[in-house]
Amino acid sequence: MTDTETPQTGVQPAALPAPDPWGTPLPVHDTKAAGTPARVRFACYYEAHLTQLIRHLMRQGAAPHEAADAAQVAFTEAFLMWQSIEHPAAWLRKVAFRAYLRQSPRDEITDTPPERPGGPCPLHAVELKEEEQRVYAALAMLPAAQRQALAWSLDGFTASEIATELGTSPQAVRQNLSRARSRLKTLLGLPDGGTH
Amino acid sequence: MTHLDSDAALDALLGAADSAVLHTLDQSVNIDGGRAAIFATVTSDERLGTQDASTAGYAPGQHSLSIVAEVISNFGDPSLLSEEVTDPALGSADFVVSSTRSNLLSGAYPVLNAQLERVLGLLEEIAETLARMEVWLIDRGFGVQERVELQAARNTVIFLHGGLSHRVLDRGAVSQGLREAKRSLDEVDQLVRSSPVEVGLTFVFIPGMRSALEGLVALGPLIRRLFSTDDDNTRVPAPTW
Repeated sequence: MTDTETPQTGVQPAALPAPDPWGTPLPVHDTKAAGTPARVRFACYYEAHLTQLIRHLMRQGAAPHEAADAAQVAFTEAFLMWQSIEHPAAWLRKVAFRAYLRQSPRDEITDTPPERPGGPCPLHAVELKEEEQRVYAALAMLPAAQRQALAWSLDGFTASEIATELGTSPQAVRQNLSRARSRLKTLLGLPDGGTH
Repeated sequence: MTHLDSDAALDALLGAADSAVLHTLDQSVNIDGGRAAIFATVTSDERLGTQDASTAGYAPGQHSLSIVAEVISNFGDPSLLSEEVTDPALGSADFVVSSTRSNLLSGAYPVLNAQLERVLGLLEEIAETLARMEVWLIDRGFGVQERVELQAARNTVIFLHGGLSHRVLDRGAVSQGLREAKRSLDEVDQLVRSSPVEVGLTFVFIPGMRSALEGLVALGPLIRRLFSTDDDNTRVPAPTW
């Protein structure tokens, strides 16, 4: 999908009559699913957290539409097992990051965007201002492990939580965070007072 | 610049960029479309039958407080919540109603058809009646049990309002919710009438209870009509706009 393409969805205002994808009941493999309450919870969670998940991936170097595609894939997977996910914030970040890594590189896309499990990319055109581009470009220049630790940290996860989710040690996370900050200061033209 | 200064400057840069990016994304993302696409990906063989949907484990009367709390926690702008909340339970419920109302007014959701608007209006009115009755119960010193039952009824009504306005409830769930709300109100009625507390029921309690029960009864045919145009009779039809 190009940056200017309008996503095709089932609830476009011009569609008359539009199908009602909202009415689809929950999957059967959720045994408590009579679950319209679960649907409401999912719908509200999606609304409140989609953009944060997209931003999380952008911090790790994804372009806005790559991030949006991956976030959409993660939410689609989450929907199928919503009741069994204990910590959706961490779960979605891990799954979305994997989905992002699995994506074809953008420069291979020509006319038609690839089919994604979550349907069309939910993002319209995004234009970041110069300062945001500068900061996010600096983030993209960090080594992957440092970038990942910082992205999780900026979302409020502690070093211990990040270590648990990423399968590493808190010490390694703290070291990556410290090095990431030091490197970022250099990249952004701030004086580095030394590592923490 | 000291080490601490540069740390603060870095935090400020990251924070400002993060906020700006989030704001830009908020302006650009098609929440309704993306969510609809997800729901549409669930294939027909994964669906529950209507009968199952109306009976299998759905008990808003038991779970409504936690549902409302979670809905609220994920609903949107916390500053709006803080403006509304005085009592956590009452305030969170108020917030759901005000949010859905403002969504309708602001056009954040497509214009709903007249039948659905009528249902939503009636649910809102019932919720307000139950809120007044709850204040009355508190003023008269009634116990926790009566208030919990009344809150359960009210939260179920609010849950139905929010679910219908977002078109995420099927007919079975709505019917079940109405039954649960009525059951809770019957329970409150029985508890209050058998209470040793000397109170006058005439001016607030009886009219409020009658109004709420009549409203729930009136919703039955409205809900049937609302779903009647749908092919499989289980979903809120697409709104006409």
